[in-house]
Amino acid sequence: MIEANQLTKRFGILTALDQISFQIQSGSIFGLVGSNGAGKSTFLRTLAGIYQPDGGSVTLDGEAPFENPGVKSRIFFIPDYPYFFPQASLDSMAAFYSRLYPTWSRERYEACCAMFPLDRKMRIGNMSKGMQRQAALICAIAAQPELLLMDEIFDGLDPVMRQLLKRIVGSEVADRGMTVVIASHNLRELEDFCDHVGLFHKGGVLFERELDELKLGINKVQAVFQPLPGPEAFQGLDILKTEVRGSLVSFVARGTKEDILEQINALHPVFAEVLPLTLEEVFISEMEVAGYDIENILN
Amino acid sequence: MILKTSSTSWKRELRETYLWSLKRNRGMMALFAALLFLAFPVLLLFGLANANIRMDPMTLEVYGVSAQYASVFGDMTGFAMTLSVPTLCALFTLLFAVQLFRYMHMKRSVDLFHSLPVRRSAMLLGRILAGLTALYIPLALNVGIASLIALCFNIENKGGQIGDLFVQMLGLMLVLAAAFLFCVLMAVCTGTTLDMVLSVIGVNIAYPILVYSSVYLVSCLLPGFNMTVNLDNTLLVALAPFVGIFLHASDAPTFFVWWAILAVFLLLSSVYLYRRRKSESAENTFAFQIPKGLIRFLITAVGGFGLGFILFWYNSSTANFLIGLLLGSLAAHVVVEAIYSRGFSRMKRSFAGYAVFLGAFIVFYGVVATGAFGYVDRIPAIEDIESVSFEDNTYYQEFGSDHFDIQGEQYENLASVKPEICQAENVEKVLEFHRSVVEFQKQAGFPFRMSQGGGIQYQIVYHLKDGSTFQREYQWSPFDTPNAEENSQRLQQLSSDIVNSEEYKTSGNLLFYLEPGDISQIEIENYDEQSDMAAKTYRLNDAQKQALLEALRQDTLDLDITNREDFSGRVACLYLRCGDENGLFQPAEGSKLKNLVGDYTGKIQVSISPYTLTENQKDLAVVQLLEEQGWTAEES
Repeated sequence: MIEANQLTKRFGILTALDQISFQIQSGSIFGLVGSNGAGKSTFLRTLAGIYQPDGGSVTLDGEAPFENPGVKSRIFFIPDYPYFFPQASLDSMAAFYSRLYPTWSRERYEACCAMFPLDRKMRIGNMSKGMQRQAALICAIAAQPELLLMDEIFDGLDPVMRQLLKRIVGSEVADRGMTVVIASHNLRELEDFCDHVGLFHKGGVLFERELDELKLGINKVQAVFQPLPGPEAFQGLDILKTEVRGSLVSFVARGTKEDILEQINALHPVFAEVLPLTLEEVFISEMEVAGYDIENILN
Repeated sequence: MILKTSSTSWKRELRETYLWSLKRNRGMMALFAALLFLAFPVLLLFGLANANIRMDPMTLEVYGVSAQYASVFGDMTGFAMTLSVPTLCALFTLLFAVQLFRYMHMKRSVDLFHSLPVRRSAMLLGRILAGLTALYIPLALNVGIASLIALCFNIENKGGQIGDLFVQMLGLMLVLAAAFLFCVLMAVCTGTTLDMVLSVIGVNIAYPILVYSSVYLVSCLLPGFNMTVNLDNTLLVALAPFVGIFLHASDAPTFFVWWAILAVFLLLSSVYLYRRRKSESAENTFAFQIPKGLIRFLITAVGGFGLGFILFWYNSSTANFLIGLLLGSLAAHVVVEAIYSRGFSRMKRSFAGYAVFLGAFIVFYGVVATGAFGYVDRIPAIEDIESVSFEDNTYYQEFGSDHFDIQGEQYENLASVKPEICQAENVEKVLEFHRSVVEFQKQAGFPFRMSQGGGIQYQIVYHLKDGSTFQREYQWSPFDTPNAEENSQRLQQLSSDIVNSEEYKTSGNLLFYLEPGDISQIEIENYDEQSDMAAKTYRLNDAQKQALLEALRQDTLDLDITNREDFSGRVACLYLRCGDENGLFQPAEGSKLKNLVGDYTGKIQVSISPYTLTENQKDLAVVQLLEEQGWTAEES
């Protein structure tokens, strides 16, 4: 289990992580979403043992990763711009990792190489962005870590490779119980990949929840009223965002579909329906609550 | 299924890092070896193969061919090990350091290396070992090849040629380790490779200049202090190992002890700091601020001293120096800050560092100008003095001068003899002279002002009874003082009393050490400009040798050294020859020379200056003897 406890990380006067606390269960695929500069990459690097926390702690099964090779050998980190040695090929990078990761599997490496359309002898520096990410992923899977950290892994991958990535990672989670933490702005990809999400904003965690629970717990309502009731009529609902066009009221509210519908029907609408939100819509709604919306930015 | 991994051991991490790093640098290592091969063994081979071996012109027989090859070998290894090899070593030390440690300076590579299951200490040490291996193996290989070439030319290890080469190599390896570790420390302290390289170059250039400038400033300002001529190499390059690479042939033990200590210090500091280095400092200018401040201080001081001395040399004015120091240091500070901060945004804040420099300089200058805590006034008590060496360079010295060296058959120096004053009355004369110099200096102005010395005029070295020495060297001229003429005459008189004393004249003059039997012949050379130069050699019998030596000694004792005339109107030169055709002779048992060389049993040689005869020296004992014996340059 990963546990962040009052975790703080500062870069000079900037506080990138501000006393965040949450847990990630083993064997889950955890999506980190959030605004730019929210601290997602900083959290991944701290968890990978690259950054030393300035306060609090982050642990994997109770052990801090910083300067702890025992823990680090169980973690593989794919950063947003993976680094490869100058002139290195996939095979030479694999040779490098195989010396350092005790769980490195030659068989797994060969199997992954067969799945991804990459030339193993080709200089990685000459590969495209997406191909470089594939190369990093092959090495990560062959290292067979207990915890795989990926930062913007979908960036540059074509839709087929994204599906392949999700399938391979998913099978690792299913077969070996690997835990995955993935930071991405591509919420559509995360939506059908993650089982948990955490929303970061300005160095803090707005929430951390199971994805299904999250999606079920927030809904979009469209209703037509004749006449339109006053704002006090909706006070019983936990509304995040409201939009009124004539007699049509649209809003996003927290709560189960049944509870929201029951309260709306009590106001006798001409028409009412409750729609599930996509992860992207949930993200936008929650960020608006936190004051991060286009209107605020433009104003 | 979760694969539980075992904790990797530190040794394994070190080994894997070392092997991988060495593998990554094998190409550069091969290039280094190839260039060293061209710069040393190839040149040596051609040098030996084309050596001009001397032979007997009559029999065409070659004598001592091995020794002649050894001489060529010595010359070529001397060149290679002091210039070409150190140059390549210095270049590749920096290249390997950049190659191995630039990963710290890129965020992307830091993401990779700092997420690996390898402790930072193992990662750093593994790379350090790889770097040293990459430097040492090509060097040792090429020195080995050079030695094999030497053996192929039958150069035996007599005299230590091949052995010396290996000793030099070990010395070079030690300094290379210090230079490499210096680069490592700079890599750890900086955030970019450019800053690392600039810092390495900056410190290695600025530090020796700063040390020399500081010593020169003190020599200009503090009466009695002069270290610019005999400045210790170890001090001069103590924090500039890249300069030290070129001085590795030094035979001073302190030189190597220092590099060993520095290497250990740099190693421990690098590991300590790297373990605390923030990964996020990659691509910033510096990871730690203290080294930045020190380097900026160093370069600011060099800039200040540089312009200060340039302006000072115009008219020897202290004001010029201080104005130059202020302007030069300010300019250097701004330039360094602009380079390190990539602009002027932090300039205002950086002036706190400049204020520290100014404060340090004011304290330093104030201490020196006021006598350096009594340095100027310190004169040993007569009861503490065993003997004194005194030199007054304002008068001519000739014939045997007042000092000489004794060399062995291999031109090795066996002894150096200088005038030594031990008698209490003469020691008191030196003390009186010393006190007068100090007093006249203070009359010229206190706190002391800078003066541009024109070489050392007076040198006094007290050998104290506790075994230590106490030395003062004065560049100052008494003509600067308000009552200049009076002071000058006073010093001349005091100096005359010392150098004309019998003890002074006899203690350092070779004539008073030679035995008549040491003299083999004399040569007289005519200097008449109107006719062709003539010279004639005379072999003397024992009585003639005795008479000549006594005459020369008598003339020396009669001479007023401070009133020595110049050589105008010279008519002849008398050369005294000792020993065989090579000047080698066996000193007589129980003689003064034998006592000086101690246990040395071989033949010795001494250098003897010619004795110049002028027109107005007709009354000299040696001139009378020459006339009496009929010894002239012309055939009689």
